[in-house]
This record gives sequence, structure tokens and C-alpha cells, in this order.
Amino acid sequence: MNNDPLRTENYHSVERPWFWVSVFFILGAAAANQIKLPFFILYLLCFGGLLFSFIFLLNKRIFFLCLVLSLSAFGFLRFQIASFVPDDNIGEFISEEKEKVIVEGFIADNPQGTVDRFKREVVEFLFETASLIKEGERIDVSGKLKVSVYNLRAGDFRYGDTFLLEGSLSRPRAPEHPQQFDYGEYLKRRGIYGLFYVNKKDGIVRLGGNKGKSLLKAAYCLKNNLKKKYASLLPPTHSAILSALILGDRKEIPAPVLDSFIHTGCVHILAISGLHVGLVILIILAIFRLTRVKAKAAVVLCICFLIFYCFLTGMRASVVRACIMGSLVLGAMVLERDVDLYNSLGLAAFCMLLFNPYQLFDVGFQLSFAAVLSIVYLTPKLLNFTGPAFELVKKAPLPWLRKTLLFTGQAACVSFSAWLGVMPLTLHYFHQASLVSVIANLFILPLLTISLALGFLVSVVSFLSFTLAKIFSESLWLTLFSMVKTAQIFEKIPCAFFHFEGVTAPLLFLYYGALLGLTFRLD
Amino acid sequence: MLNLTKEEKLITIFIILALILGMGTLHFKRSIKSPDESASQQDFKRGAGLIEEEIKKSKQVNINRADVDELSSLPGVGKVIAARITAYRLEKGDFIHREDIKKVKGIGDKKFEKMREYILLK
Repeated sequence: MNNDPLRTENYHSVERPWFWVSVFFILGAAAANQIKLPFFILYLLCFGGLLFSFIFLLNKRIFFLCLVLSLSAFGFLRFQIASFVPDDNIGEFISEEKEKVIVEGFIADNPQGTVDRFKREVVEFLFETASLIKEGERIDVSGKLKVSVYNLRAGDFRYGDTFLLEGSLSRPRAPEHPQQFDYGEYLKRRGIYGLFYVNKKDGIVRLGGNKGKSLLKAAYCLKNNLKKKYASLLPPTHSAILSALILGDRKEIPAPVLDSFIHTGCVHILAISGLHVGLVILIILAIFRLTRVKAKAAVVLCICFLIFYCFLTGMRASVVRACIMGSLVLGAMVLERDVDLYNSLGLAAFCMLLFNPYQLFDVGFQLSFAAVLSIVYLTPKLLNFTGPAFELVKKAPLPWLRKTLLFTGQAACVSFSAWLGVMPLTLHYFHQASLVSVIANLFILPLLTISLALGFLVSVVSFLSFTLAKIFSESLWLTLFSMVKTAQIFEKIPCAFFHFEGVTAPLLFLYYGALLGLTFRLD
Repeated sequence: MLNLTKEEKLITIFIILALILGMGTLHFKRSIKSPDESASQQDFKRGAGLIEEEIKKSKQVNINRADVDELSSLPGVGKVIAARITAYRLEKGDFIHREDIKKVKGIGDKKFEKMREYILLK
């Protein structure tokens, strides 16, 4: 045996270590959702497993077994710690019936103005509570509430403002049957423990001081500013779509337009993900190259911008995943290392779940990771499977025709892979799926790429010259209009989408197991 | 001449195309909305007067709904007075008459006369 300790044969190496770390961490976290174990057993398993893995370093089998046990216990422990609710949590003081109380605290996110089903203006925001005044008694509390203020505008409220609010406090309504969406559980996973309704006449007192974080304040200020600029440059529908593409805010998209994208399986373009973040990286790096900034400095600045972009777009699971993976790719460029997508995906999942294990049950998290995993896993297999067709295409007489057909074929394989991975989840959660998704995406994705590039251009130029921004926004309007029209045309195709309610969780596991089994040998 | 890389050339072409397409679309939209050129001088003056009125209306601010930025567009009103107006609104409720805005600290008779025709109440 070679005596050099730095030779890799002396260590047990694993391909894609972070992928397997995240798999076992997730298994532990998923198990914790079903069963509870005492903390001391979990600590014992976690640290004991780690200790034994060092003791049995030379025995490969025991080493990996101990490591797997330690990781799963760690996932279990992290989830159980996250589910721990402190005694002063405001959720502990909410009665079963609605009651009038006063809460003190600060606004914890960017207030959004909307209109409810009774056509009343509502401002909604998350409120981080500091104290609760109930039946004349003041109680120190913590935890967030979802606040709805009627008959006021969002402009009256800003992130970080401290208020004394008087209104009605209640719990979210429990589901009436097991299949119904559990809104209370959904809010609890986001750290929100109750609902608070305020009518203007009830009482809103602004207190002095602002408790917001500077980075978030800057991000929200920029976001609100950009939304106003988009509204002044584009018609309402297209300005709302641009807000969704660039800022991750799709609340103002009219329902019929949103439905067109949902029914054609193209709604993912309205959620910021890998394509958007990839384009952001390309644009930022191109700007730095044009301004002759050194490569390493450009990469570091780009990563800093990605972090800011995460805050700007509301820290949704798909954005965070894409930004983490984008940062890893950029880091690999600087360090001259190869990139492994499974490893990057695993590290992104591990980091996100370490921060908040409840994200495992977030639909956005599941869809985002399922889409990327299925693209990364299935696309090479599909390309291999359709190899003979590609060989035929390579014999096309004209070079431009050859390139176009090859590119379209590859894009179709990617789109089909994503559809195979995501379709069962959309059936499970939303009870509908699209049959025209693959073809619709082939038309919409190029328009999306141009819209994103123009959208970022308009966003930057609007701060320099309104006239120039207006001219660019007309080109942008054309591409956004084309995107909407394409979605509407595909939506009208007979059987473009279908509804089905029978996809349960066991069926999901069966489907993915069968998909894995069928495609395993397709290399 | 400019020694641009392939990437720089692509970006430049993209921006120029976007400019040309944008100007073309803008021109097309304006051409389908162009006014009747055969209007007489009186019609033109009447039209100009109506436009002036429309411009004033478009600059009006609903003081019961506007946020700080919109209130700052009123003549003589900066960010500080605009913040006082929103604070007053939160405390006392909506303004019922235009003159009620004089109850906000910093808005006297002179300032009110300047902003009077730009105040909208809804």
C-alpha cells in the first residue's frame, strides 16, 4: 500500500458527495414529518455516527454506514428543531374564535396592494410581533402574522415600519376534509401563525423607528421603483408579466392570461429559475467584460449581485436554487474546476433545507428540483435514445437547416424531460397537466429569452433616459405580446390540458420508481 | 476599426435592432392615432384648451389615496410634508374637503392656493 497520505486511493472517495449528503438528509427530514424521537437519541445517532465513522475509517462499509446514519439523524434533528415553537410564540395566544386585540411589531416584508373578492382595496404584509395586548393585559410575544388592512394603499406602509395595530386575530380555517389544502399548515411552514384583519377605522398607530435590514430595504425600494417604471412604460398586462419575469411578482397578471400559461404548461417561465438567473449571469459578465473588469473580480461581483437578486425577487425556492447553482458554476470557473450538476444540485438542496427544512414540503421547492433533476438525468438518455433520428438530421443538405433541426431536437428532449419529471407533481397538487407543453415551450422559450434580455435592458436604461427606455419598451411589448398570443393559441388546441384528481403520494413514488427503472439502462 | 470581440458585436447588433424595432413600433402606434390635420384654427385652440385641462387633470392627485411619492408631485409639497399628510390621514381619516389639507402642519393659505386645482378628492 502506498504510504503517501495525500494519494486519493488512501481515502474512500464518493462520486457526487453532496448529492448523497442531501439525499440522506432529506430522508431524515421526511421521516421527522411522520414520527417524533427524543432529542437525546437524535444527538446520539448524529454525533455517535460521525464518531464511529472516524473510528472505522479504514473499513469502507462501516464508514459509509455510520456516515449515512449520522446524516439521516442530522436531517431528522434539524426538522424537529425547526418544528419547535417557543412558549412566547403568538400562535399560543390565539383563541379558536376571532377576537379583537392590539399587536405591536414591525412590517417584515414588502407590503402588497390588492383587491379582494368584494372589490375592497386590501394591503397585505407579514408582521413580526413584539407584544400582544389582550383583555387589558400586555404579553411579550414573537412570531409572524399575516396582516390584511382594508381601505388603505400599500404606499402607506413600508418594510421595517413599526406599528401598533388594532384588529381581529384568528387562526386559519382547518381543512374540512383530508384532501383539502391545509392553509394553516402552509402558513406555519413559512413561520406564520395567525391571520390579522385591520379596518382603517379600528386603529393604526405608526410608532417611531424602523427595524428593517438595510439590504432588504434597498431591495424592496428598487423593486417598487422598477414596478412603477414598468407601469409607466407598458400596458398593465405586459407590465405585470415583466414584473413576474424580472422581479418574481406575478400577483397582478390578469387571471385569463395566467390561465393560458398554466394550461399550456408554460407557467414556469413566470417563475424566476435557472433560465432567468443564467441570463442575468451572462448579462452581468458581458457588462464586466465590456468594461474590462478582471475575470475573478467580475465573478465575485456577479455572485454578490446574485445574492442581492435573491432578496429582490422574494427569496423563492426556485430563485435561491438557481442562484446557489449559478454561484457554484461561477466559483468553479474561477477555481478552474469541473462542474457536476448533480453535486451542485445536492449542495443547493442541502443549504436550503439546512436553513429551513420545511421547504421540503413547499410545492415550488419540489417542482424546481424535480424539473432540474429530470432534465439533468433524462435529457442525455433521451438524446441517446433518439440518436438515429439525430444522425438523419446531420445528413440535411443545408448547414443552417441542419443546425436549426439539431437545436430544435435537443430543445424538445430537454422540454420533454422536464415534462416527465414535473407532470405528476402538477397533477398531484393542482389536479391538471398539459399535453401541449413540449411544443408550446419550443415557441415560447426563444421569445422568453429575448423578453428577458430586453426586460433587463429596459430596467437599466429607465434610470438613465425615459425616452430611450420608452423606445426599447416598444420592442419588449412586441415580444411579450407574442408570448401571450402564442400561449393563448396553444391553449385553444383541443385537449391542450386535462384535469385528473387521483394522483396520491404513493402513486407519485410508484411513477418515479418506474421512470427510474425504465430509463436506467438507456445509456 | 473598433476592434470588438464577437460577443461585443452580438450585443451591439442586439441593441441596435431593439432600437430600430422600438422606434418602428412607436411610429406605427402614433400613426394610427394621428389627429385630423384639416381642423380649423378655432378648433385647434379649443382642442389646445381641452388638452391643457386634461394635462391639469392628469397631474391631479387624490390626497386620500396617494402615497408619499405621488403627494410630493403637488406644488410646494416635498417628502416631509407628504409624509405628514399620510400620517394625518392614518390618524384622522380621509380628507372630506380640499381645505382640510390646511390642517396638516406646513400647509398654510399660500401653499394651499398653489396646490388647490391639483387636489382630487375620492
